[in-house]
Amino acid sequence: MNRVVVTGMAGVTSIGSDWASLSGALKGGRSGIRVMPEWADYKGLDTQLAGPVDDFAMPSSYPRKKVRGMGRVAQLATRATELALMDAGLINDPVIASGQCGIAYGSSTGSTPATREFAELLNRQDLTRVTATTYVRMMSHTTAINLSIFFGVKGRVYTTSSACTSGSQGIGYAYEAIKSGYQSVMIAGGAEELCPSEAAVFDTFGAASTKNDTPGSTPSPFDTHRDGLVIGEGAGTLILESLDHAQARGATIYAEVIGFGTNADGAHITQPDADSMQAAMALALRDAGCAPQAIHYINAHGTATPWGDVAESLATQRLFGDSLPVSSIKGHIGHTLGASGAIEAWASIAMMREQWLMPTLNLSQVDPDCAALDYIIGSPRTTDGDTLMSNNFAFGGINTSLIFRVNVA
Amino acid sequence: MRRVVITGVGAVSALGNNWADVQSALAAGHNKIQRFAEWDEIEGLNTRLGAPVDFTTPAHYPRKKLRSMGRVSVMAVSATEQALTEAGLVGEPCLTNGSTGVSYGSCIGTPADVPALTRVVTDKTTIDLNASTYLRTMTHTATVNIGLFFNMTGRIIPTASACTSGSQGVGYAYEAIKYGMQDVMVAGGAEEFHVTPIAVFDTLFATSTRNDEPNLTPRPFDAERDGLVIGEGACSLILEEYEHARARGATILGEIVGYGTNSDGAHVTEPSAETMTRAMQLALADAKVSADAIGYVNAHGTATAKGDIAESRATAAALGEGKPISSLKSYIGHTLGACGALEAWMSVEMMRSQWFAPTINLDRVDPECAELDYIQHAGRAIDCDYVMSNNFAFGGVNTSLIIKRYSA
Repeated sequence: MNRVVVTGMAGVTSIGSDWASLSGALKGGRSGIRVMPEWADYKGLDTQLAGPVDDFAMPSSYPRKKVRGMGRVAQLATRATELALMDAGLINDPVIASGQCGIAYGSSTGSTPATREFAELLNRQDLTRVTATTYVRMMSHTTAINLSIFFGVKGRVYTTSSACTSGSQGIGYAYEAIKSGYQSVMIAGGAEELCPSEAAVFDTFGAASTKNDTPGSTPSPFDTHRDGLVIGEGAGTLILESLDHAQARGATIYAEVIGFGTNADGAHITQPDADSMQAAMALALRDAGCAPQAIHYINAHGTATPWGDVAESLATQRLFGDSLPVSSIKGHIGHTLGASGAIEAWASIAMMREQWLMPTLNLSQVDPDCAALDYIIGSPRTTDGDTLMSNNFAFGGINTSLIFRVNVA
Repeated sequence: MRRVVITGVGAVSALGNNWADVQSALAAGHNKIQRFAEWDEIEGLNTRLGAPVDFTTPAHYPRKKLRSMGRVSVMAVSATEQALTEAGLVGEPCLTNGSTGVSYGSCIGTPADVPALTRVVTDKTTIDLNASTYLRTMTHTATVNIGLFFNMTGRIIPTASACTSGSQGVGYAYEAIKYGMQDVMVAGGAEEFHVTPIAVFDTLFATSTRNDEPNLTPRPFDAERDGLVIGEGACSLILEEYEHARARGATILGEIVGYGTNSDGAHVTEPSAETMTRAMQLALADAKVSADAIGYVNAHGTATAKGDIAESRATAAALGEGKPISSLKSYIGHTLGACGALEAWMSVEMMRSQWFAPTINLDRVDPECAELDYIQHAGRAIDCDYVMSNNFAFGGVNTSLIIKRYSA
């Protein structure tokens, strides 16, 4: 079994697309959530809040031929991956196209404007708007395929499109591919582009926040006054590498991936289940060969839905007790769906390396129905820990738990 | 490394849902392609051909469970139910105690529910949306619904990678057991018949337009081929750790011994013989067998001009000229997400019966295709211990599976 390390990290988020900006926003309590005025016209849509990446534009240097099959979600994924490869010192490195590098990447959906081109076909029996690249932009594995083509990756591809665990499964399955010796390097992560149809999906469950007049106060994970999630967008990419490969080229090592657990509820598609969440965390601990006491911080999924936060906090407390520091980045940037697991892993590793932990924005009074945990509230906290867990739970009942250690001996 | 065996299979296919029916349909040598006159109405569509399956939702499926399931999920669940029954696993604790996972995919979710989502933007209304809409349209809808229907709590591996969804389903399930993450996996793929994927290939001019002669197309490897025909179906293989299967006295149908997967990294629709060759070599290395050991190759063989040429050259490069090969797409068309699983299953059964189906409508091999032992006109008796089943996706994902005959 190979040891697996993180040698590159990057993302595109509504509050920063480099660590200096993102960490400043996390420390300063800056929210990426805003009102979407145009959504007021949507009949039946109660939420008018989102966390768009307003300043994202695809770099003009990208060759036209390579971007034809990219909708926004693939563009976000490509930019995050380019930044991560640069961070790892692997951009244009021969290993990328050698067959030794693969991809594990996903999103909840493909690019939705492309989906609408197909809907035209269904609604009007007219194929004329559909082009050769429509399906490539629309398909749920559009990020993985576009990354493969853009960077010339010839290794294995995992299409981890599993809704809200797309990014975390991307990291987990990439880790296993290196651990088992199939690849030396993996591009791992997830992305999502904002579409009102995604907000509408959560709206139909009553899961979306409707505090439309106070965008800066919501979502509020674990807070007693929370009223649901806010949809965001973005991308996160981690470059994973076997320890041997990283050491041989003198790469900067940010962390070691020491554990991954994934399972499913098997019970109900939209009602989270504390027992199976707990089992996923236990699987990750077992894989890491460490006791619960070895974990110094948990980055929660913490979407701010009433039932999700309760189930997650209970599962966490049963395994770890009530004194483990926990926070959720979704207070700052909302739920970035397919991107969330990867953005959260990036931020968590980077924080712990700098010996601080973010608070959950908008959390002031913990819901008494949530289990007792050491919720980080108000301001950042210093830490001397070196091991963290990042958890994600998908709509559809898929759970993931990842464990990273920032001191790699 | 743990050994991985097949202990049950279930299918929904135009050739039949069990091996006895499929074998007699293959032996009859007729394809299941139909002409669809109603597509005359669709502006811009060239092909009128498809191969749907006569499938209806089993009456005993509870309404509550069906809410989140479109046709692709119902077919996948039905195939899985048959497979679990054949494996003797129905009601077994291992299905629900975390030992069993699902590795499964399709090209798309259920297309009929997509307009409800797109109307949010085009008509600015959520009126057609309900809590189940996304669950039916999402690409991993079959994967998640299988787990929910049978209350499986192991890992879910979504393998939606277009035409390799089913073969990656089998391959990644095999690895999940091999490395000890799971003892049992439901592995495979499904696709429901719909004009959407047909339109996708039509815009690429990859579909057959021999609209007046549905019985003569698709024609994999034939000089007169003019493209693929889209079908549908589902196939679920129950993969199980060898000792786990032995301990409960399960019937073993075959052993998965090799899996290779890689990607072109170059172009969405231009297949690359070089990386296809590499995928087959990866599978051989994983199986630790030489090319000589492979007695039969089940080709992806979609009957597109570029695909067949690249694949035949890659096969000759990896396995040598003269290797017996055929494509089952000549019978049921390209079942997209289902094909890798259906073809792996049928290849195992052909190996067990020592009879391999020919590629029908292959009259004269395209001289651009490499020299291989194309099985034509009639079935072939071959006694072999290893078969290889290959698939190559739109988007450049390649897979190669090697399955060994099981002898107790």
